[in-house]
Amino acid sequence: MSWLLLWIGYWACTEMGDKVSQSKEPVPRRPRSVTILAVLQALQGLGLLALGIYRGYLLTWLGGAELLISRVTPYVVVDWLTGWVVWITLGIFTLILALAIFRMQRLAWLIAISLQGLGLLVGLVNYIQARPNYAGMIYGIVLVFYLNQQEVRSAFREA
Amino acid sequence: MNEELSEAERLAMLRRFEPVVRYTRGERFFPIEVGPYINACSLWVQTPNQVPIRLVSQGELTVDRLIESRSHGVGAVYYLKFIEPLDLIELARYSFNEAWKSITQPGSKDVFRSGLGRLARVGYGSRLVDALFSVSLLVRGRVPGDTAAAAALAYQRMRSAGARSSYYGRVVRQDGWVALQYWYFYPFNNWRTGFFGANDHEGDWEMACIYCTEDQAVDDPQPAERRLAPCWVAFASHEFSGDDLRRRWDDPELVKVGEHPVIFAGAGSHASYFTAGEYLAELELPFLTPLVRLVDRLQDRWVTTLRQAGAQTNKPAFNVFRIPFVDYARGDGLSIGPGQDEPWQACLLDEQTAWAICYRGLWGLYAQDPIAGENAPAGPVYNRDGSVRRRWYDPLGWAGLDKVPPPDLELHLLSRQREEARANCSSLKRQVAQKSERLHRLGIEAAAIEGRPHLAKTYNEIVGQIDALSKELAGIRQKLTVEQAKLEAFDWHEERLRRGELPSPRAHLHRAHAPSPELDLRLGGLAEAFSAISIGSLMIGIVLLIMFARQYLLIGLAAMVGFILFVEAGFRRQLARLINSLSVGLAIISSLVLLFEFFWQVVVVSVLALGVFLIWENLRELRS
Repeated sequence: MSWLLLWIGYWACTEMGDKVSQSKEPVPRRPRSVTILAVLQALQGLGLLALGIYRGYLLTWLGGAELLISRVTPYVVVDWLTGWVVWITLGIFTLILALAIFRMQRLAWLIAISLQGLGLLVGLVNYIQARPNYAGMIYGIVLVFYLNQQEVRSAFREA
Repeated sequence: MNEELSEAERLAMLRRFEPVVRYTRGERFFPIEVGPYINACSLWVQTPNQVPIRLVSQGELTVDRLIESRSHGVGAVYYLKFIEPLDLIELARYSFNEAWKSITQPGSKDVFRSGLGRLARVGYGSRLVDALFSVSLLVRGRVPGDTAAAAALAYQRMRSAGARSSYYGRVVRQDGWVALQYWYFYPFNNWRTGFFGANDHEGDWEMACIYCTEDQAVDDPQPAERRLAPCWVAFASHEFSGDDLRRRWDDPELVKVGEHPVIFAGAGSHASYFTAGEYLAELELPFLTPLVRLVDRLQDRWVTTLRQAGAQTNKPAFNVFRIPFVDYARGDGLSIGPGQDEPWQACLLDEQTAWAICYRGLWGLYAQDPIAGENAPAGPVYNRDGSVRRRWYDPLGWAGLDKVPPPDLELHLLSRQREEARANCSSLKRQVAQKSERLHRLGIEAAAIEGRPHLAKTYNEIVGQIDALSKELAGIRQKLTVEQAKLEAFDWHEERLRRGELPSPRAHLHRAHAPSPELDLRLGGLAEAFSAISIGSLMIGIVLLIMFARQYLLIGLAAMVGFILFVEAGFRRQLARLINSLSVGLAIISSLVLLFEFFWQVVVVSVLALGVFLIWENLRELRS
């Protein structure tokens, strides 16, 4: 997993996978909307990271107390554990993605829209299962519509 | 109408500009005279709720018997029946010969290759509606399946007996124009069975019209046809009407061979096109019309109002509830016309042509199809309901040319318009002067009596008159400004006309028909095959799920649809677009969920935001 994140980080910081630079066209100036998008994406990444750390902390705390008296089932522990790993990984990934957006790498737009779509799908499934995360849904909606703004799409040559 | 033109003159006029028609490889039917066709038909009548009655048997029908006066009451439909179904042996022999020819002579002009089909060009929704349309043929009235084969054999027999490629030409003078109409009669339209199109029907009438100006100098020694100058060409086509039917003679889109415009005829459908290519024709089913309108409106709002994805492109070309068909007008088959594979035989058509004027029935089988696609058309003069066709009684209006004066009249008409505008200006100026003086007088009167209590009532009346007169005067001044602006425009336009400048040849077009672009498909053959089987496989999959794993119906359906969507998007290089569309769809659903859960909070926050915005705006105004 760490190798994968390292590779993605390398991709975000270099010109790898950037078709704009491969085609030797002049790199366009970064519009303000792209900067705002990168900041929004970074905030989402930080949020996910914080959630992951909080869950990890909770797990440690519970591990010392609650597990011993068997008030928490193994299923819940696995859920917390996977949640912890997934949130931390997603947080780091989203931060790297924010960096790629900031550097206007073309593939970043596609990954960002895929990530938001996936997030909204999970949000809707959770809503149906009576575990709604309204804040996450609102954030996802805002990002999807922001990613579809003409200026943003043009910047990533997706219009 | 043509009393001053002899038959020879009319024929010469028609001959001079007769179009060249280029067909697609595999075309079976070409225009012929109506005589042999009528002789090969039987005549029938269908009265409401009755079985059809045969009036004249096959082989006994002549033009004279066709035009006999008949009356079978209200709602009776007279029609010809060209084809009696083939027996099994004849059909098998015909099918074998066709298959053998396609194997042994793949490059022949008789063999059609569909290439990339319509299903690969359109989306999944359209394919589903198309499947329903195909199924509907089982319950709708339709031309029987072997009729096309029988018609092809009958047509070959007529050709062997001497029937030549022919058109019926009509010369009409209307409002300073000379319209040369070319009518083409095809014994059969095999678009559905021959070329995967929307319909088959017996008998098919198509028309092209060339609009000319005529040098009317009395002492002109030139023959009548040499006094014509072509200006516009109009072809009858699916889905288009009015201005969109015609092209100017100098339009680069109009292909010409010398003085002969070229028609690219749709394979089987015989619809006429200006450019060679494959055209996506969309059929709108009457009962789906509300949905078609709704989707059109939503697409428009998404692009223009919300300025969302796709805002920089034109309005989406396809509506999911219209059924797409490809009309192949490749022009790579037989070419008929001057200097081509075959010449035309010209026949005259006018108000004295008995078979055209006296027979109001259909020119082929009345299949009783409620969508009408499988019913034969009426002749050149009439619609299916027996009313006269507009293209017959108003050739100019049919192509939107009734508002366009012939070029040699333009300056004269412009000068008359200018005179009228000048007269209007003078009259309006006089009115302005009179009303203005009257207004001044009322004004001074009101000023004089203002503040005198015993004249208060009179004062109020005068103020009312002033208001009314002031409004009237403003209206007259506005009209005067418009008339003066028109005068300026007339002067400018006259200058352009005198310099011989013409507006763009395409300025009159609202929606020009263009061939469907080449598709950029990965693994084209595989993509085509997948497009052909996907919807059918989905339906079978649903049935299997219901039968064997009903508890997984929803998730199974989602998995199958998702698989089809992603595979096809991959073939079309549109994965990014698909992912974006799905994300936007999820965002819209999530928004609705949030609105449902937090309706009042949303209302409160919106009002609060509006309040803050208003305060901010007002404060900014104060500061400035």
